[in-house]
Amino acid sequence: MSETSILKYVHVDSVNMRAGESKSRITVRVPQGLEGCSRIALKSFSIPNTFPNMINKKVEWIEMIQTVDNGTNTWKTALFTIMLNDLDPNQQYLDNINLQSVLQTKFNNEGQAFIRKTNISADGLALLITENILIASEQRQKCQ
Amino acid sequence: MPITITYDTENFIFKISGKQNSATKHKFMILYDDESDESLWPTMGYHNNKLIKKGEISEFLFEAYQSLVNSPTALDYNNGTNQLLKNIHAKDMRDVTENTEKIRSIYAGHASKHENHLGKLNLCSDLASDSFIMGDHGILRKTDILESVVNNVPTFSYIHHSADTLYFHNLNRSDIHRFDLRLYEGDDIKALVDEVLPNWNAVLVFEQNLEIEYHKEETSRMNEYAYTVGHPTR
Repeated sequence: MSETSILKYVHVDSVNMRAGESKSRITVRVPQGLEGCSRIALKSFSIPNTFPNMINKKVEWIEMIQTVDNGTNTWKTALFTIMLNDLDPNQQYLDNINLQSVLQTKFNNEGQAFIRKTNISADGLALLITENILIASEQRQKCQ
Repeated sequence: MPITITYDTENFIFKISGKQNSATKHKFMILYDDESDESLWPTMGYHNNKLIKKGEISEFLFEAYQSLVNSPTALDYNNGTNQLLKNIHAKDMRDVTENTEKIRSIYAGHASKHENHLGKLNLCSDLASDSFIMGDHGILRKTDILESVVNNVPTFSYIHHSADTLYFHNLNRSDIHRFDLRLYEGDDIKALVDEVLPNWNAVLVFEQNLEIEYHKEETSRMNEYAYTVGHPTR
């Protein structure tokens, strides 16, 4: 009794995945089975390079302001979040210049998009108040 | 606080700066959410380790910075003997009341990779688990990566990977009736967003070992026949 090795080629196309499956995780069924296999390798792979870069993205920053309460220095700390999930469908992919433009619009709040402000307590992640504020309108009020 | 973001088209560097005209101390830093893949800063060129993370807020901002700056032991802050403060010095924190824009700006550490953010894809399978990858802090961990496909083409063209030399992985089972294939993004093995993932195809090579049965009598008959063909006597 001896053994001989042969190679079997399996072509997989995500178009033919089972309904309900995810394209990033597909299950391949082999009804006839592949018996006595020992090794596997990838021969080829193809995919369009059309990956979006603005899906489920956000920018966050922290501001700390020192204030004086009854002669004692205290800090007020807040986390600011801009969720970028309200972009137009044609903005799923942005180059750097357009990204800068979109972010500046958000920082200026020109699109009336909310910047979420979360006050942070000394416990760090304990969130005291979460409020959506219009930063730009606050700035305008301060300027007036 | 007004925030300005600029992009240098010659050096491909982002810069973000705040400005507040006030005598009050006002600090500004950008935050990297290491608990999700949503943070945009890393692809814009900012170093993760120079940004404050959510898990560091309590330790860095409250225990270290605020308490020491407020207290007489703020000397520790000045002479840099406090380890926590040393650590926070390594972070990009800016005073937005500074007049000089350069001092109150946070520059990205390297050029933005936002336009071609996906450096490589990892094709993984439950069939093989003989690969290792270096994770955080240089620690090696086991993975099930079949192949890393490098993205070396411009955006909106096709990524083609074709192997002239096959890099085999040992299978963890010999009889295969089903297996999974999974695609992940880049070094961090992040999940790809399924709704916008284009269709892909792959060709896998399985090495199959077939047993061959040799019968002594059959082999003997074949040898005798071959001898008579090779040594004709008539």
